[in-house]
Amino acid sequence: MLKLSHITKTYPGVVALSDVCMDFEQGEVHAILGENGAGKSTLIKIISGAIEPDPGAQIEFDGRVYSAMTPALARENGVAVIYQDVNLVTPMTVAENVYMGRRMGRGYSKRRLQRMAQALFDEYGLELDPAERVERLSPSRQQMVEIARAIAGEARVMIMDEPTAPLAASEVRVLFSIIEKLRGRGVTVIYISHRMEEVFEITERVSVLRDGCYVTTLKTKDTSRSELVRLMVGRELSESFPARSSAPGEVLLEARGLTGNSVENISFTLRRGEILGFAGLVGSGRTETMELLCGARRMTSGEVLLRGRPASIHSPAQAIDQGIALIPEDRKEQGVILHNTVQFNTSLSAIARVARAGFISGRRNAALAEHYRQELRIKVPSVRQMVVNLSGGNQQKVALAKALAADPDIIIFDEPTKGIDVGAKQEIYQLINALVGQGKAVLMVSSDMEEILGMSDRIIVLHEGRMAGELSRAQFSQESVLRLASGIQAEEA
Amino acid sequence: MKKKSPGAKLASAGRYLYQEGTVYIILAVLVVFFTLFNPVFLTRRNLYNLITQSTYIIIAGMGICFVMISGGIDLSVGNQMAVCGCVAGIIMTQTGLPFFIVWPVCIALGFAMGLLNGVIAAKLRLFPLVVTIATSEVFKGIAYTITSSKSYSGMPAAFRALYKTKLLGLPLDVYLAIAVVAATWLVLNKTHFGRDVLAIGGIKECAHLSGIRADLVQSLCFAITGAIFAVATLDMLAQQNMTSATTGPGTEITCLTAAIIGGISMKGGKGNVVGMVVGILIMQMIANGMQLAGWGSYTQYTVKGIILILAIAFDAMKNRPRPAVRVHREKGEAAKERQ
Repeated sequence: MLKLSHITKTYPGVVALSDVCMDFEQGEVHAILGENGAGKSTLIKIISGAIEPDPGAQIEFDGRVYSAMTPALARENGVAVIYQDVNLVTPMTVAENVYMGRRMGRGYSKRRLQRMAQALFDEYGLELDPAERVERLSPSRQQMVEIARAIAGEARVMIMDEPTAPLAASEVRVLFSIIEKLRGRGVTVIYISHRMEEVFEITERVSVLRDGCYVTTLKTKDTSRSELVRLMVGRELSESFPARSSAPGEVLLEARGLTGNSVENISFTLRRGEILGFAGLVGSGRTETMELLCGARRMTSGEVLLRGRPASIHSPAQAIDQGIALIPEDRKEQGVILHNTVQFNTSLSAIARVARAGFISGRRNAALAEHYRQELRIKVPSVRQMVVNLSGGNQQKVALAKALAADPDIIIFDEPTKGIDVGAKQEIYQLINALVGQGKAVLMVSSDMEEILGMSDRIIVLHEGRMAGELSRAQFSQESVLRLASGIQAEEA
Repeated sequence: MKKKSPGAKLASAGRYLYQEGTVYIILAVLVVFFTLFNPVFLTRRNLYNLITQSTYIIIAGMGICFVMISGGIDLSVGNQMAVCGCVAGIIMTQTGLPFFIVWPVCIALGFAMGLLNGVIAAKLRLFPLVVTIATSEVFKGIAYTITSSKSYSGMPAAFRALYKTKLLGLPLDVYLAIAVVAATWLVLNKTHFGRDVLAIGGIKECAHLSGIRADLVQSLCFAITGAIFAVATLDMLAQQNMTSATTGPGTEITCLTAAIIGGISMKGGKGNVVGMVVGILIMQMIANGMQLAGWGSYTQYTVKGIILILAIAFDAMKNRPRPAVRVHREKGEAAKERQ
């Protein structure tokens, strides 16, 4: 029903898409895979009319051929897009957001709007209160509102760009059942995700893009993970986690009863040469615990022992001085300063290494950035490039370079590979392993089940701000983590 | 590090001019325009006036640099000038204390007023815009109270020497302005503190998590702005030889407009001192051109306001993400696309 032919899009100096041809059938769930920069986003934007392809392109909807879409034309043809960032009017209610911009006829009635929304939620099994104000919802709930808004619009082609990124496991189930229902009604779903298991679970066909070129389309059931990964990166790449000999050394950090910032009584130890994973659902207090450790938030009680001695950490500056560096979850707001250079970002936490008596040496700063550019293989032509021009994976490496330049013993990674493509993920894993090999200790928060199971030496699972349990390597399994994370054992006990 | 080839240097200079060069182009156009339409403009006498009248505004502009690059804004500086000017005027005319006491007192006073703004904005996490509108009223009240809305004139000759003494044909305060510009450039571009300022202006949260004492740096920026405005006030007083609660207010708008024309973003995190100076020269040339054309100072307010709107609109347009069509997820997407 939707056919794309000869889609090319060039920006000055860059070919984003090159002669891509693809077709989508009615009522199918079709995944588009590709590394960051492969052109997925550009393709979506061309379908939704946000950008115009180069001349020669043909976009065919049910036999109607267009040379370019506009947002209005796309809407007319029933194209709806769910983006991974939520874009809602937060002081308004769920129902108002779901039906925003739609004419109601017969005047405006909040109650009627809420009834309509409730009917929609019932039909699709969404657990949302139409009268709740959006600002009171958690990020993953807000994403569900975003999804509800898209399905309320009688779409015929539903494009989902990494819809599960902010969702908790149970909500992913709801989303999948929504997709099933949409498919049953003959809606075409174009599904973009970095999570392979989702692709295998719900899609019928998979198309692969690489460096702006169309590679192939396969039936999902006839292919395998390793084949898809190979097609995406164009080279053999094991999606398994790099092997690492684990030899934990002495205890570096001990947390005793950390309380505050909506977590309670968190205790654990961390040894040299060890990766300690923190698992849990969204909102279970993982990030909040890390914020306490790196001094970004005050704890109300509990203490932190560093190398056996009580440490006072009241600010990130103190944490960095004592060898704790954080690589935060929100790369663009917390991790790096986008509108400045790689060089500037690299030395943010390590000013002492490039400054003398308060004056910065440009040469030493450049040398420092250059050192980490090579060591971390940051793909950037020059350290004077703006960080905003880099891909997600490379931005993350800049954040890592910034942390490493401060020469920490303990490195906290909060969702280290969120929104990063497969190739860059592997590189980040190898870097983390190398750090541990050098005798540093790593705390890693992750919602990616494979990642946390594959990388950690031990896992602490949090549930609603408390420790639900600690797992050693022998106890690792998806089930054991999920049980603890959803509080099952706690309730049984 | 490899040395850049001359070709690459030229190319990067070209790119710089293309991206940030609007301000120089405006300057060039204005010079040509005024020269064509007013023969008086390019005379020695007028240029001398233009430069000497600009000195205190240029000094003040360096002050606003700190607060704006740190991501803040300070609308109270005009009334800070009024307070400083009145205090200096009263001290000198009433008590006869010498200028070398008046100077440090005023600078400390400016520093304190700025620090007040900074601490309120940083510690209470309020918008600097709102905070400084409020403190502006406070300072205005103080200025009127201490002067009982009288004006003071007849400053001591030793104090006025800053403007009256000439070195190589130019008053001393021209050199003072150059020194302040050089110092500001040095601090912002070459020091530890300067990059902390840029970092908190870029993203305060990121800077804080990276171990920069963001609240302290932000407060200090306001304080430095206050101190530099005190210097500007003293220079103004030396030039004009009279002060009252109404001298000073208005300067903040000139400086703000000049800063935005000069490429200092309202969002903070970037900006260069040279652009700021050129921005001020542009504002002063427009004022000067209007004087020569015989337009009254009231018309000039209107024109300045219009220029401010144009400058802000242009700044916003430059910072808007590339795709012209409104899309759901502009910021994140644009960043992803541009890899």
